[in-house]
Amino acid sequence: MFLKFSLRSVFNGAGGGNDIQWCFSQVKGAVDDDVAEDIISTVEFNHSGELLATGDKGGRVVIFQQEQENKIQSHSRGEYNVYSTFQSHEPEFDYLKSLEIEEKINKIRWLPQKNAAQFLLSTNDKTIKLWKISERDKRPEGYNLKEEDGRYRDPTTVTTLRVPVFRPMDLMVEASPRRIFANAHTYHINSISINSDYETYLSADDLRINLWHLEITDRSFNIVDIKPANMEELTEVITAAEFHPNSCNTFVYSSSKGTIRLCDMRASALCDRHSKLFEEPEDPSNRSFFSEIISSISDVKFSHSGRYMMTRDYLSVKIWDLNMENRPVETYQVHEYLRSKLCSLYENDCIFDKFECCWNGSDSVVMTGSYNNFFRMFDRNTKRDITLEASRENNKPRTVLKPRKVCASGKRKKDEISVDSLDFNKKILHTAWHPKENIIAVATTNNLYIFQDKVN
Amino acid sequence: MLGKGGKRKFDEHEDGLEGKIVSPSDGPSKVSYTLQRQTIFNISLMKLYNHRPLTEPSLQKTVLINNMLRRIQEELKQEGSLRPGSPAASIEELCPTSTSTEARGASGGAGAGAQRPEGPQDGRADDPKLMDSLPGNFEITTSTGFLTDLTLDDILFADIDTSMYDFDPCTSASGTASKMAPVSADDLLKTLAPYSSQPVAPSQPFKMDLTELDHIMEVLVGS
Repeated sequence: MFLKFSLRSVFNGAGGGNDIQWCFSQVKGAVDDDVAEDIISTVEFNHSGELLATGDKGGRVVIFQQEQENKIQSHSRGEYNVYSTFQSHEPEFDYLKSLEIEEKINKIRWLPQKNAAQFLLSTNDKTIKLWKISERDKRPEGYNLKEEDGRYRDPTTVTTLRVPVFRPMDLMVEASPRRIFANAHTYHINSISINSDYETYLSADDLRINLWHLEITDRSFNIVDIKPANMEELTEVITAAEFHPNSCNTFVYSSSKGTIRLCDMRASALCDRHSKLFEEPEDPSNRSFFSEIISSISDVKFSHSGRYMMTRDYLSVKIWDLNMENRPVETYQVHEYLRSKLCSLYENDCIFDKFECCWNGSDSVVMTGSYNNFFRMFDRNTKRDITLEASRENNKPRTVLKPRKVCASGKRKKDEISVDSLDFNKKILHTAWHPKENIIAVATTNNLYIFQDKVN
Repeated sequence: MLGKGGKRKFDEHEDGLEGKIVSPSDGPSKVSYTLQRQTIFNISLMKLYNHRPLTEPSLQKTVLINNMLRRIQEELKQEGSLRPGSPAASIEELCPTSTSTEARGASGGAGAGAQRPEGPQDGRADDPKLMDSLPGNFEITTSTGFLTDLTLDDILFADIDTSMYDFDPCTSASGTASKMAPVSADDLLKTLAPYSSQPVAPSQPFKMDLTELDHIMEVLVGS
């Protein structure tokens, strides 16, 4: 199937972040910005890339499906159209604390496909749910005992026997909750990650990480607990966690102090002692009041190969080799021009924004979001980077996106944007890269943009 | 609140306030460093108290802000840059030594709450909500340590003299700088002493449990 794609597909390796010309493909969502419930809170491709799921602040999940390539019109990859929409979580009330539990979907993770149905895990702050999404394109017709509308016939009028047959019907996609994993997290869940054994998964909140079996909902195992005996001694929280893509006993978790711990579940039942601790010593020339806050890691993602992991902190993206704990092997500055604005960003809370990051299919390019609806890509091979904007202004399909540049200080060149003009309300926190192709999904506040590389 | 492309009034102050941190030891830049530190301290306090969402506030954010406050307090403690008497006196004035006879001892209460033994967490289907009411407490107990009743008053009663904690960083260029005398941890301790039946050791400054806080709130709001 891959042979049909252009030579600039990812497997060729030549498709670096800057050899590619990114084009607008689609935008989903309302034009006006005001509906809070529509704020996209997570974006995730499934393992084949055919399905793209988004979760929003209102607890809904919307799944898009890529239409199969039209052989005649091979100028673009298939478009993504709505496949299924369902309400995953509802708001709840915690009576003990007199606080609402938000229905906002924090994360979605797909299970690999085993049969005709698709499965995904979605989570809010407290409860994880396993959803089954299945298609129905046939229905039984010709019941013996029922009328077509479902009413039962008077048995005395039944004189012949006939067996219902399946006849085609319009495709219906149904989502049903198959498991609900509740009451295991006192604090807010920030991550879920499915193990490579495809039988277990972990869920992480601010202070604890639990291990679940997908079939069992009334029990989970606590594998990390960093809650101090005296809560007043709490100075560090867990910010993200992920299983290793190949090694089913290994996982990592990141902290608000900029450290990443790799744990091996074979070592002990409670993995409070890490196998490896990844931490870069602080650069003394960059010290400020905000050093700790900007070192807090907002996302951690293993490379597909499993050899590297990537972390995102407020100003940079770092690539770590799992064999080297004392410093990252690569560091990319996302928006260094914000370093002199940290006090304002602390005041308006932007410094606490949690940006995610992602790898492309071949682990050669990484991507993350920024402000002003900008997002950035870093090519690890060529060491070049590019800044693009997700905006409805460039919304003609196959329009090549123009690179953006922020002018940090001094004379602003034409087409550059000065730091003071950046809109900090327009933040791109969630991005996803198709596992095999050069198709990316970028979420602005309440719109989802899909970009593709230029074909032909 | 967020600038949508327009210049924000904080910009003017920013250049003096942002940028590389200056060493606290050199002369004139020590003032700017102290100013910067005080502003950040004030902003941090405001963040913990102005924010009363319907949903639980982010523990990560609370922890980071608390760490910031602690760090600044440590610095202040080490510098010992306190004018003895005056800040503590104003605090005493605003918060009369009303008794809290029903309140339990500070360290006793918080200690018991925090050290409730927790078994292994298999089978957490039984209610972890009861097991741990501390997330809410954490926000209140640790941050009330920094808060003190003084800042509660800032928010609740506008007519009380709040010049010592002037929150507007834009006007703090020169004139009010002298009023923003940093309050040392020791002074804060003295204000808490009337509210606990046990002496509060300097090494465990801010143990105030929920019941005491409720009582204090009652006193402040009821009067």
